[in-house]
Amino acid sequence: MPPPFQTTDSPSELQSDGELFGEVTAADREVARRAERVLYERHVRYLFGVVSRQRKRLLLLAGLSAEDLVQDTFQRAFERAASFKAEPGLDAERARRRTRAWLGRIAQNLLTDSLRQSREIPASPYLEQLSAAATDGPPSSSPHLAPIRRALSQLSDREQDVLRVTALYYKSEGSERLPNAVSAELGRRWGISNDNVRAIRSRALKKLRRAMADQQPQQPQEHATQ
Amino acid sequence: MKDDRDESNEIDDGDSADDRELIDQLAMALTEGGELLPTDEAEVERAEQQGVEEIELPAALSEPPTPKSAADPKVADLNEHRRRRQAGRGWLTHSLAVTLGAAAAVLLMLQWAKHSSPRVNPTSEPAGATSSPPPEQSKVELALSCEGTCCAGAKCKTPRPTLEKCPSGRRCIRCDPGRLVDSRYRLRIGAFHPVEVGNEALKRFPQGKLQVCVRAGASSEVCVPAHVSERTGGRWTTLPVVASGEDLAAKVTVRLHWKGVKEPQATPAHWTMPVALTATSLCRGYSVRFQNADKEVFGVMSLFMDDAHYVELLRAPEPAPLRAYYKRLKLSGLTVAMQKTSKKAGAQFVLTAGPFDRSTAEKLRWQLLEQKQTASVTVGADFIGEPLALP
Repeated sequence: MPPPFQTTDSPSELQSDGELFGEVTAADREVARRAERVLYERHVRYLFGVVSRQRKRLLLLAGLSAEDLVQDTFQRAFERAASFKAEPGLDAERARRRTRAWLGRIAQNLLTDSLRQSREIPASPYLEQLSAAATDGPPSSSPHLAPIRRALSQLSDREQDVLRVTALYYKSEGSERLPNAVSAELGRRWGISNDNVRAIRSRALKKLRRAMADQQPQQPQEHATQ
Repeated sequence: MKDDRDESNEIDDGDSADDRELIDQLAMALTEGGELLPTDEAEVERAEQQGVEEIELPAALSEPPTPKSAADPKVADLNEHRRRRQAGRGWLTHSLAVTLGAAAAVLLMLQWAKHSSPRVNPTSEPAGATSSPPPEQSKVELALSCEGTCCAGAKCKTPRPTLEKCPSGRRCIRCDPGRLVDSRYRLRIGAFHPVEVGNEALKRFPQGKLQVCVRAGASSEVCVPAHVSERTGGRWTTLPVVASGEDLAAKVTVRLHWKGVKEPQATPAHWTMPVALTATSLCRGYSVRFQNADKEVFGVMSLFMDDAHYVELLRAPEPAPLRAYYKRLKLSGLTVAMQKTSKKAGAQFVLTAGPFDRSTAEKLRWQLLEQKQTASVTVGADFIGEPLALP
């Protein structure tokens, strides 16, 4: 059942996200636009925060800036507002997190879509740009993350890129395999064949496994948590 | 050739059951570390607890996306939206740049004049390579704006409350700490102001013999006169050293030194501290409080970290080719200058823009490369004297 429209001049901060997404689908563009603005202001800082801490290399591979991804995500969320399912009875915190998780899934799908798309990016400048962006901020210090990050850091940049993209698709689509279109696109941008991308991925997984195994005697307590 | 129908065909490498477990671990770890987006409630909660919302929004995100018109299809083409947004940003950039361009040009020229001490003895990065004249004669556009995530400075639309104006003279400081640390900096010091203990000491030794010696991390120590330099004729002295962000973050030692006096009397006071590269420190600089061996405050002095990266557009043995190239430039939000170098022969003159932080300099270089122009980023190690006039 669609939520009742609020008719006050300024939308109340008390309106739930579900109500606001309902208003986004309203025929009255003024009402819809006002609801979009409230939703945007409510979540944009969070979304920009999580998008910004992603690896710059991953965004570069997708040919997106953090700002573009955030705007595209809201654009798509508003277009698909009707599909937003509000769960009645949730407290405000959980409701907010559900909205943000939904926005996160949209952003993730946009990222994977972008990686699939073929774009006209000249190989050489792209690679130089990637190299220039290789100075991401310090990694998270999460102890759970530490062993696999250490292992990951032992791989070449290209091997790391392939594994990050693999993990992205695994999370997005549930498959541990890269779609052919994506590996072909990576190969095109790197100026190597699809077979070479497959070989890099295979080698990277083996090296990652080996590097993690090598850590076990030194880090028994950390591995015990996994 | 790419065929979307191939998306169902997948790469099959190795033992997929083992791979799946490993990739599952990897995806969890990357999500937990913030490298993949949170997509469920628990992940969102973790991200919120990590304070992801404590971030400055770039100007480009100050407004929600443009609403689709009634005529638009239900699911619009995002690439089209993005193109429109970028076109809008381009217009905004242009307008902003036109408005601020003249002011920026004057500021840069004034700063250059202030920083006229010879740029010698850099700790790293060689002088830029000699570039050949650009092959094409069309207009070359170069634009700079303070859009994106900025935290301080008069040109920043979203400054932090206390950082609207910067004593350092900076007008646009980015927020990204990684970007700040990745840059190189020239250190600039103000006049030394002795307090009581320092004044007593100054009476015992002639002022003209007092030096300020600075060492950043692993770089070599450089010493300059402690008071206003006769050579620069101003209140500030730019030290002949280019320090990396890592060096500054490791430790900066500033000591006063009586020239011609033997230790331990030669060093009456010093200051040692890791210099954090943040929007605040780049905007406000540091107040160096010298202490003597008894931990008494000896005197104070301001320390600023200035950008050090120049974009070199062209080098030539004489100014004429640089002036010709300059006429082809369509500048927006920045200015370029002609600089003499210390080279005795060959490319003695260089057309440059800057100084900027490394990332900005790289972006400008890319603007030139994309227009098929040559360009390099250097720290101006061989620049000498003040900029020369351009038409």
